[in-house]
Amino acid sequence: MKKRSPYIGLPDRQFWKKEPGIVNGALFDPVGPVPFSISRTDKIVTAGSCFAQHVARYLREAGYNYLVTEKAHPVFEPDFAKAFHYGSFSARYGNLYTARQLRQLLERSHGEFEPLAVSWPKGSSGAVVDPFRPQIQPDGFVSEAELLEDRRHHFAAVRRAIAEMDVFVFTLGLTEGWADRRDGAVFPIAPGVAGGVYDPDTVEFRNFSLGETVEDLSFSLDSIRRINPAVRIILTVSPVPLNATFEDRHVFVSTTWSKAVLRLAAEEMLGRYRDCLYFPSYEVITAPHVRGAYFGPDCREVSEEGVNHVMGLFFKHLTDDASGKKSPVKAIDLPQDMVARHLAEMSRAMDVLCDEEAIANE
Amino acid sequence: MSANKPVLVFGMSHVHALDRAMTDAERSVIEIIDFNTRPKLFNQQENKIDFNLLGGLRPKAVFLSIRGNYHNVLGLIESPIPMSIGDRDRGAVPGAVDSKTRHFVPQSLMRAYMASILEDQSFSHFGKLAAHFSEAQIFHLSPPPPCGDAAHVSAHPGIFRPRLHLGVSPPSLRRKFFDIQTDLYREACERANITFVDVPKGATGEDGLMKRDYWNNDPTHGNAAYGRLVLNQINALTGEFA
Repeated sequence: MKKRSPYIGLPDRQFWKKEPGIVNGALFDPVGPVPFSISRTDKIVTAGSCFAQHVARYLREAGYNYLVTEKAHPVFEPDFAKAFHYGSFSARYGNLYTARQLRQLLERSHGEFEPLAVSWPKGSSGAVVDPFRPQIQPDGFVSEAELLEDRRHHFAAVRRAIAEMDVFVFTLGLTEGWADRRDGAVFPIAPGVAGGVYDPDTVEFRNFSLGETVEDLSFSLDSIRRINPAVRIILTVSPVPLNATFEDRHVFVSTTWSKAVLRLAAEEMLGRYRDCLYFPSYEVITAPHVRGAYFGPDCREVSEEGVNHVMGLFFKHLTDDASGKKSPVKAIDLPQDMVARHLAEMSRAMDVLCDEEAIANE
Repeated sequence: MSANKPVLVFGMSHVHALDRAMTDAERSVIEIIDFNTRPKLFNQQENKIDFNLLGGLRPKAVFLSIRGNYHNVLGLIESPIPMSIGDRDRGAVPGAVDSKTRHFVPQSLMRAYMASILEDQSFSHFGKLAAHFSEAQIFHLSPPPPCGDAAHVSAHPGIFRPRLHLGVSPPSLRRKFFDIQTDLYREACERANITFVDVPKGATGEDGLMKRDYWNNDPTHGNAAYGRLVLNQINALTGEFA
């Protein structure tokens, strides 16, 4: 029997007026069928723009196996680790705003590209920052030698994360960036902003096109799958608008251009890669259904309520635990407990020794 | 406590090296107060000094020796997860001295961590002490540097024997902890208008570690000979009135 129209029988989600979010924004759910699910034992790696840090935080707090291969030494309490960006992402790569940055990180950490820029000076004390993660440490590194040592450990952590992960979540953030004219190396922020000196003869502004973004993302996913063929991939686009644009136009116009490119590039990957999913966090935050409620007073920062909505859908559709609530964790002897016990025993011993020193006879 | 000697030295265990080295003549002008033996004066549990009990003292010079062994808490014995620390010249210390896999720690992270601990334990006293003895010149003595010899520590482990199975940290790592601590003490003293008195010249070798002549029969303190060097510093700084 012929249908009255080709739309007859299609799912409700394909019809605007059928969306429950129209009446109640909290019910808005643009997530379609997903090709895979995530278990609590799957090792999950995240990377991308700052919105990806929210994803990491929720996964960790919900008791999922958020893989961190570059941890602070367990002697340090969480506040110290956080200030030095341990655990913000799976390794200490900082924000990877562009697809080119992801590609470059993979190439650099696997010895396929060694940029000419090694370090940028920070202040006059001799401290330096890493041009490729200039804000990873509050005061930079004490010297280039220390930076290189840290980078050696960092790259090893990146390689381990790529090789061991079961799920890779990458949040595309920007198309604009700054590149070294000499070798094309891209920086997350322009030199001069958080270290280094802006020299127009050395660096140039880049706004990566759709073609370039597709190529960089595809190169990256090919590289990852060569190392880890079974990894499941989740792509998202950050809903956070550009903070500034170097293009001679309004920053919001640049934002829509940039997000459109990223969204299309992500979509392009779905057709190229199996087990590759686009998760619509951008859509949840920016949809008219939520009436702008998920942006902060500056119309840019995403509110906790918005992140909660996104991650609620993430857990609902991608896991068997819609609540995202933490399940009881088996008590094990964690490295931080072992080191804390050692420090406590050393402190006690030192106190006793110092007391005994008072009664020594020489 | 004896009243009104012109020079007052007080602090914790490191003052004993000085006490053992003092001559009778020095004892007539230098008062040494060990907080650890004066529980009413210094409440160890609460880390509080009762300034009322210091009311009668009017020294012309005060030499503080507040704690100073935290570098040993962190660095004397290897952590269960051995670490290396970032270094300006070498990238990291201890470098390839052994086959251990070491967890790299950026220097500024270790520094920030030690600063927060020392602020609570030690530096929080500086401002109050400086205010209490506002008419005196105030100094802070450097804690003694590490001896750096694993054999000496192993031979005299004392109370640390139960942790010795983890191994004594390499000398360069112990020096790194000490150097970070010294920088923090120096900066805290500057903030409180206290003059920091560095490790006596001649006490250390080229490696910056304490010479064998000054090792005590425990892993963390200087001996009487070291105390003599510090007393010589005190005499030089207070010669005009001591």
